[in-house]
Amino acid sequence: MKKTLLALLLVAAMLSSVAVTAFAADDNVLHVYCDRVFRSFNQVTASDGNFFEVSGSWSEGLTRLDADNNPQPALAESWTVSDDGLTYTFTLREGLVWSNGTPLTAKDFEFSFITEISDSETNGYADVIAPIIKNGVAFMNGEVPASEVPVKALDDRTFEVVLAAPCAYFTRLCSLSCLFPLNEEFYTACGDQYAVDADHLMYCGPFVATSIDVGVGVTMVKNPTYWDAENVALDGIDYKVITDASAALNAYEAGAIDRVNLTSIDVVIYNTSDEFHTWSDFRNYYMQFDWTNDRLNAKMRKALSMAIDRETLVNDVLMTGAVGAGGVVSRGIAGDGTTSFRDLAGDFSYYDPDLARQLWAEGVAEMGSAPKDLVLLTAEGTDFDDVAVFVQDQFRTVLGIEVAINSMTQKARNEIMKTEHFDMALSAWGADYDDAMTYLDLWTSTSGYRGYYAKDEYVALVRAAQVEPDEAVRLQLMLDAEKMLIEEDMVVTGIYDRGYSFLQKPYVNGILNHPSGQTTEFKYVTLTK
Amino acid sequence: MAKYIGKRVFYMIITLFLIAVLTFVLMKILPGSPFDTERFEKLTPQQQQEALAKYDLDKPIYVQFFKYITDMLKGDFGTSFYYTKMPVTRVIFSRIGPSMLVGAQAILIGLAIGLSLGIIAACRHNGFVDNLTMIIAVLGISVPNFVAAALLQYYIGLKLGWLPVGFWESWACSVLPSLALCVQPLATSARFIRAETLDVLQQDYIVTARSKGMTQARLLLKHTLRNSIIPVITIIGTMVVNLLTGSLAIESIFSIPGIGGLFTDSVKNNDYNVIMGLTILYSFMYMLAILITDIAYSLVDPRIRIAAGKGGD
Repeated sequence: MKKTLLALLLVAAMLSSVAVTAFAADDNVLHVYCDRVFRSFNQVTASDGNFFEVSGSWSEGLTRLDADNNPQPALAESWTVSDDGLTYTFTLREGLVWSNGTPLTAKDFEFSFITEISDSETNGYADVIAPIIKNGVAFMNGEVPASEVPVKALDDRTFEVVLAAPCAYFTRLCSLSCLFPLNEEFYTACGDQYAVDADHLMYCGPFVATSIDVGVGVTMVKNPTYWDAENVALDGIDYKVITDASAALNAYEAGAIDRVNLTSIDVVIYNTSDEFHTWSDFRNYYMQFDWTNDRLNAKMRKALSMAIDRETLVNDVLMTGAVGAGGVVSRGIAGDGTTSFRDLAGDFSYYDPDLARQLWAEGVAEMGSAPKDLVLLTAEGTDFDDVAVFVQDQFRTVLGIEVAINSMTQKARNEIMKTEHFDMALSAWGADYDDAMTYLDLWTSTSGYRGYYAKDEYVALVRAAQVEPDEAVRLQLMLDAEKMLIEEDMVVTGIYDRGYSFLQKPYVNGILNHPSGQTTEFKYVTLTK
Repeated sequence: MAKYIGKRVFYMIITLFLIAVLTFVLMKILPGSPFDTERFEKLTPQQQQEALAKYDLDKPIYVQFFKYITDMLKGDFGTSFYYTKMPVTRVIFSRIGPSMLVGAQAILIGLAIGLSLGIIAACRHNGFVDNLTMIIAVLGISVPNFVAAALLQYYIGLKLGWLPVGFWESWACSVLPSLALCVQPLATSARFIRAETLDVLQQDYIVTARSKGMTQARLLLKHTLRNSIIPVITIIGTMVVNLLTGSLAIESIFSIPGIGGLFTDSVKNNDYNVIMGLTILYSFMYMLAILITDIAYSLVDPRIRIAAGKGGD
């Protein structure tokens, strides 16, 4: 009898807890997710997309990107740029405070800028930021003290940065989380404990985190002391970690999350839904060759590039809203202000089966014989799997050649590329900022990861562009560089720019998507449940 | 008994050390390094070298191993490479709770139902309950737990909406994963206890006890169960460790932040220190489970106790 009672009690307890949590509450909270665990909640070391999304919600930089991806005043209310384009003077808003009441001053920016470039191997964006700031690289390498880096708080509300060379996208970089303010006193007091839980973080953005966990996710509530709090409509954000795609879809169907990314298979089922949307970002997927490998000459490499029908790949295979690439610089990356870089350059990577066959035949004739046992390296468990099979099939049908796919873990693939020679490999790069340089400077590396390329003429073009003060000349140098990289040398060819297909509940408005940096922005979200 | 346990603990330490050596070597044979990321490739060769040097990754393996072991003896398992700068102990302990709760619940539910079903089935040999139990047992062993998980999630979580489809927010979130995981221990324990009980029930002493007019309940509890449970204890030990150390599939399907997922991620990311920490933890738990199993034997079966007392194992 006692046991029956106990069992009944247990069942009752189960049912009551079920009633509380069975469906998402009808609240003014946005429920979203990311598909991978967080690596870190420390803005200095983090470089992952999910961190950018949450940190952009709980903190803010000097600038914040608007719906058109242009930097707008955020913690800085205005700024001036010197005539030589090197000195930026920011004026912070009046009365800025951290969530714990500490005043937020220009000192907090000085500390975060210096901290970010202090350690190259563990800091997420040191390699991007240091070369831009005067003496930045010298400081990172320990050659000059921090006092020689011209990143200075002139007074509580004035922050001055001197750059190494004019940088058209500097105010855009200021919207990245690695350059959000950081309170030195708090940061050093926390030590190892910094960012391990919600209490060991300071907040100055639209929201304040109430719990953070690398494997579970982040919960946030509205920050009443945020300078623009009146324009924040949400009461909070519930940001979960859901690594399994079908689990995420189930959660969306059950109403537990308001937005879900779809896999290619699910796109077929849902693409007629009113809740279906797509967007693409600045992550370029490319096929690269080994520059030192003499098994494939330039004509053959070009033929391989031209054998890939990019439209069929993105529309019928991937179906995730990806777009066919025209080169290694993603479509939409800034150009001269009115026309994008890609449109100015034209397409160097394109499908032309007839020319492909002709070039392949010519290439083989020059070599004397066709190369045997060509291998395409790829990393498993990513979009690469589908792409590799598609590309293999294209080589077979267009050129009539057999290429083997060697798929392994990303780490193993990278090691092979770095230590051995290879025929071709699939790889990708996501833009750190909206400028062609983010892609072009990669190929100045001598690493096998960049096909052992680093041709002197190419490196010279990129280095010249990096210090060129005249914007039009700089653009032309970059256009020439990409042309050399693909059109002349064909050491790499673009395949597609990543896309997302997703479902979003009709009551959600105002999620902004940016193609680089913080790719999803929740500050302006309103819910009309 | 104390001498026996002491000897076992001594062997455990030696085994752990050997496992640590083996894992360390195997791990280093894995292609790639924890720094083989897109972003690392952007650093100059000099910066890359400095990074490797900072974590002693440029040193010979035996130097690295010696340093690892000396740090470990001081209780320092190093920091994670993937979870930037986070101590390994914190990484592991932040993920072990959910796995253990789900695993423990699965064991309790599985054993409670499995053992009861098995015993009833044996008593009603070839009856309806027996056939039903065998069907459940065959299904439970042949249906992978991730299939059960997907079905539970879809029907109970999504269609009926009775329980959360996943996540780790309240106790209710642990119910479906526990149910999915309990299927296998349920089926295994039901099969084992049924076979053993059937066997015991045919022994002469049972017939004697029964002829003396002993009630069925007393007969089962006092004479049958104590004998039939011994082989089951053997399987329970490893079963417990298997379940407590997390299931990648279940954790992934229900979005549970457990150590099953952590382990595969750490191997994929060459997160050396986390791999080492988890391997040592797993091995320790296994050896502990075997030790406890052996002690439990002697408690249940006096014959083993006497044998051990005489100096045998």
